Amino acid sequence: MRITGHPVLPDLPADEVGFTFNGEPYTAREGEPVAATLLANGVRQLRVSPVAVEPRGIYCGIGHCYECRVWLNNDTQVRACLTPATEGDSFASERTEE
Amino acid sequence: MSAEETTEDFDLVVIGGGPAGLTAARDVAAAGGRVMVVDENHAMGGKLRGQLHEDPADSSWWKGWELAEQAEKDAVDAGAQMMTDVVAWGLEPGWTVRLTYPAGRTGGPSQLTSRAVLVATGAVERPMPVAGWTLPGAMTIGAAQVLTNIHRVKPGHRVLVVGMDVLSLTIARAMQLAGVDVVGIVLPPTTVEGSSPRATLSRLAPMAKLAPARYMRLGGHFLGWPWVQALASRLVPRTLRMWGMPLQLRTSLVVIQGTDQVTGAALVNVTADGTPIPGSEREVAVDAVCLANGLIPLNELLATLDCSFLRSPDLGGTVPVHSDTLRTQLDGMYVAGNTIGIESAKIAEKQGALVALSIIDDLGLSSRRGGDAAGAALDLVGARRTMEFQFDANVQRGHDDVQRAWEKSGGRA
Repeated sequence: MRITGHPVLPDLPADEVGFTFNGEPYTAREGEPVAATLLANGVRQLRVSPVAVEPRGIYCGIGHCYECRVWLNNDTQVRACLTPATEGDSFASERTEE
Repeated sequence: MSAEETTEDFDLVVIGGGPAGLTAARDVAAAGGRVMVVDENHAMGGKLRGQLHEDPADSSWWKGWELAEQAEKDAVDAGAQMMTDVVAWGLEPGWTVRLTYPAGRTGGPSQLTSRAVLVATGAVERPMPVAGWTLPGAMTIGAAQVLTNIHRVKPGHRVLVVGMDVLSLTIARAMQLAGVDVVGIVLPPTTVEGSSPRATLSRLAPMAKLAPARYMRLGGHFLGWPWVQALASRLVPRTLRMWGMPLQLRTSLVVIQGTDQVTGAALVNVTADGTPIPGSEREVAVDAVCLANGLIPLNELLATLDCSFLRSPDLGGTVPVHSDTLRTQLDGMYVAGNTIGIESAKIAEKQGALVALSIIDDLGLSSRRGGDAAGAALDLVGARRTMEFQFDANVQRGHDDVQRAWEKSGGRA
């Protein structure tokens, strides 16, 4: 789903930041939010809603709706549409008990 | 993580690093003010960063990305400081700006104190509730813009756009440029206010100037363009093509379909006044649906303070009462950009320059850098009149209503 060879905009740097989402490895562009990297790899579902247990993904894309929240390093919830990965980050839909 | 209660002092804290905020930061810093801009995104520029269209003024490409980078550089060169990845969550009179770092790893002060604060938080999208809108793959048109033009990821391979306005048509075009198959642009569900074919077509009239240059500027007349012919004849055609994309003027979304993610959408034909036509229901296979229902000024921070608001459909929602020189009813608190009405980035930039004059004057900064705020306020009115398009044709009426409310309040809550 990556856009390359855009007719107007210049190409962006290559992927280089390694992270995992639900245990699977992905490589992000520096500074790119994790939701964008996942969508580029065909992953749309970021979590399930806690009550109705329905899938949720990117909705507003600007950090306002919090639909895209995921767990970072099993420690804190972040908005996947805003938060860039740093090398070695572990993102997950659910928090796991120690 | 930041130390508890770490504070830094400024003359001006700008909340929101879009065109309004960055322009104001540049000018106040150039006048000798100590300025900090905070933004919750990873990069400055706000929604300007994602804008990409052929500028109707001269047919050149309006590349928001480059304009945002330049605006940030100009502000930094003038001496303004910048913090990204930080959320301003509270304002306390005096002024104290409370901060948090949501990713939990960007250290910084937990609050900033400042003589002046500029709220330039922009806008959010008006939701369009419809069955299936929580499915992954259903997103706002703004999300599609950010993904396509900033992150360079396709929102989908086959995309349905729902809602027809300046923003949705421009972003549909941007997706097409990026290689996305925009299979259709349809009307919102009939339950959405003002979504009938007739109402939509009349709102689209100012958009005529956004068509490709060769169609759009026939000596100031647009009658060569089928939309305008359609408007003139009062008939609503079934489909018009825009850059080859079908603009389905008499088709409404019914539901978004899918189990784990979007796999399609159900559509129905409607009469010119928006009544569904029985038997015309059909389905289209798509992997993303982009919902466009207009923008709303974002005022969460000011809503907690003792200042009055005015509801103005012309401006897109509810805005804080402010003067035409962009002062609020609270000493040291200023507003600019889409937070006071939905307009283009060009207007937001002018508002940033205008509010800087007010701030420089009120703070007693370099008079050499100051200027005639009243004159700049009038220039803004003139710029609106000559702007290539407006999100709302009556936006100046909205600003005039705000000005009347300001005068009536005597500038006090």
